[in-house]
Amino acid sequence: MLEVKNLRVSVEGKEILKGIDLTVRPGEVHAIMGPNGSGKSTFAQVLAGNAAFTVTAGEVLYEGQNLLEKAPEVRAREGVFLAFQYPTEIAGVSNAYFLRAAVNDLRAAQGLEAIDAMDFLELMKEKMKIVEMDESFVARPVNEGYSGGEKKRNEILQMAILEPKLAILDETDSGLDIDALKIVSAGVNRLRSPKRSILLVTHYQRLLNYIVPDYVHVLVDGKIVKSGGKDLAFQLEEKGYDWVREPGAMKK
Amino acid sequence: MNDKMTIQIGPDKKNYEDAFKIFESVSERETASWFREHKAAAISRVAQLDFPTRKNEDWKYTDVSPIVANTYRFPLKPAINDLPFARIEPFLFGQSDWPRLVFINGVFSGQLSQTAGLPSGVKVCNLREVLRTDNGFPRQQLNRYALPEKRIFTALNAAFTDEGACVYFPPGLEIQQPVHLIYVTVPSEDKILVHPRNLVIADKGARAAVIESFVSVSESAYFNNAVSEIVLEEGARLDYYKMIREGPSAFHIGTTEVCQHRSTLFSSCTINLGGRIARSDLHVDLAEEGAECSLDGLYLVTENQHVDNYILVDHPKPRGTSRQLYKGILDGKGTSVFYGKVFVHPDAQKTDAIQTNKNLLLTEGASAYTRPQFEIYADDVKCTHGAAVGQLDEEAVFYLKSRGIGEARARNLLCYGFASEVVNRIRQEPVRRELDRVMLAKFEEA
Repeated sequence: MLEVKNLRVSVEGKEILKGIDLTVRPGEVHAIMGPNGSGKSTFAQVLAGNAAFTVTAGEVLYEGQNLLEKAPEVRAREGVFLAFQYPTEIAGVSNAYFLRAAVNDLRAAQGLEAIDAMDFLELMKEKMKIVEMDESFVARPVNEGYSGGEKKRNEILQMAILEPKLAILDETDSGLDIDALKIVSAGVNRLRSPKRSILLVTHYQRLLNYIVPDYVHVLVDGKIVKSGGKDLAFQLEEKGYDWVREPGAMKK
Repeated sequence: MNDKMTIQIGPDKKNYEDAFKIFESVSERETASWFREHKAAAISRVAQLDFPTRKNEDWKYTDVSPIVANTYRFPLKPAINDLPFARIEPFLFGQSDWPRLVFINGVFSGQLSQTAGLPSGVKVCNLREVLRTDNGFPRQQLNRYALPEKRIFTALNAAFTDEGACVYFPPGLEIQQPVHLIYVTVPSEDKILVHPRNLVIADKGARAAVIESFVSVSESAYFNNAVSEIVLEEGARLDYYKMIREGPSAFHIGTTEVCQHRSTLFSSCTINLGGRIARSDLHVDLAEEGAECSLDGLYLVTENQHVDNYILVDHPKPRGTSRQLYKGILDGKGTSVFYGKVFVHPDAQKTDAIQTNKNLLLTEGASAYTRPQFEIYADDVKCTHGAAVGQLDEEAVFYLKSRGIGEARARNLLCYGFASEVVNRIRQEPVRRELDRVMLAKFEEA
């Protein structure tokens, strides 16, 4: 599904990712954990194709193809989805209009005909149940004036509608109270399937109580310094990130 | 009257005076003496005033020389008065049953107008009809708010006022359907000069809406020099829309003067979608306590278009509220001007005023000038303003693209969303729907 080899990424001349290697097979859930500033979000953004970041070395293969040379919209149409840490507000565009545009661009790329407004509305309302969203969010502008939790639910709603093969969830647990966390996690779990891989990017182990990963990787200072099973997350929670930090990295 | 009676006027200002003499001599209009006096005073004022240059602070960003340097034909009689209904239908917001007055090249078309079924007491007629008499409100109201003394374009309009709209809503009346005033320009060999003139009175407690549409089925150059006077008597509420869909070579200079009495509410939306140079002046006088106005605007400026919105709100009395929200989207080499001034006089305590102007520049060649300002002479007031000129938010573009939406569509969606803030505030649903359609069509093109 996804093969990352020696990925190095800079932003404004500063190197953030210093050689990442990662392999994700279909159906697997991988957690990327790390302290603030370790490069977790950069990694997520680069996979989605944010042009603000420059790839200086390495490669990323998605279903055997070079992912990095594809435009963000092409990646999305081929099944890559990023749930943003800070979802952008799109003033004046309703959630329904936005999502139908997305679905129809996706369908067009697959040679399917556009879905009409009524059919889409039904689909959307159905999917909204997964994250227990109120129907008023159909007509509300995308993310505008939403609470933190509502934004995160809206991200998972989009995932449910777009049905990606590779979902990258960037700090989806941040800013959620325990009830919202349960709802969002249950939504994600319902979307788990043998064909869908999930990359969970998170600072805290808490999310992993609800969405149990197959693998955990620890990212520190732009490198994966430790990988293991789900137990690794508990060890991190107990011992803190200093436990896995390289001695050299601690000095800065 | 035949074609021989056409008059060339401009570029020399003297020509306007000569034109006026011919205009008056050939017009066998049985107008009332008071009205003829108004006109005589106005034309003598024209002689004293100069066309503004960019040295004039109010015209700093708008050069009128391309307008005044032209030679225009003055349409004494319509070359065409049998325009098929199908030609104006696209401009009716899908509402052919709304009461409307249609003017073709400035001349009233009874055939295309529709005033049947108006509630009793409502008056919607050609202004010329009421200028024949000495009685009634036009004598008291016409030229009272749009003063020829100050601006040459207003003086010119006053001198050449002939046909236009007279709209009156009686006390306490609430009418759902807006009254639509349509000025349509049709192709002509010569450049046409028209002086549209509207007088709108909402009497005490009346609730109504008026739409002015300036539309064109012509690619050629012409000049609409329009003046509207609007009065809201105590407790009246009026929605006012000015829809500029002039032709690509057209010049439009328009002034709307609004006088609001006690506890009135005036809401406007000025929508610029066309014209080579389009300047809209909107002056609102919150003449009595507790008057409130909400002035919106939306301009889509493209190619070499120039759009200028000049807004002046006077707060002479206490407890007045004014709101301005103007938004513009520019591409090509389009330019826009927002000049918004709120004048808070010494007596105007508890004034509450907000001014906002936001511009989205889609191309490097486009420019937006924005000058929101307050002049405040009272101390207990709440006044805020904000202005912005910027590009599309690249983070937002990326967000949309990350959902599979193509680059062009992502940008168009954001433009559409930007404009929606103004569009969604329009209370007349058919107008809102039409604008929505125009936006979607425009932003789907790219």
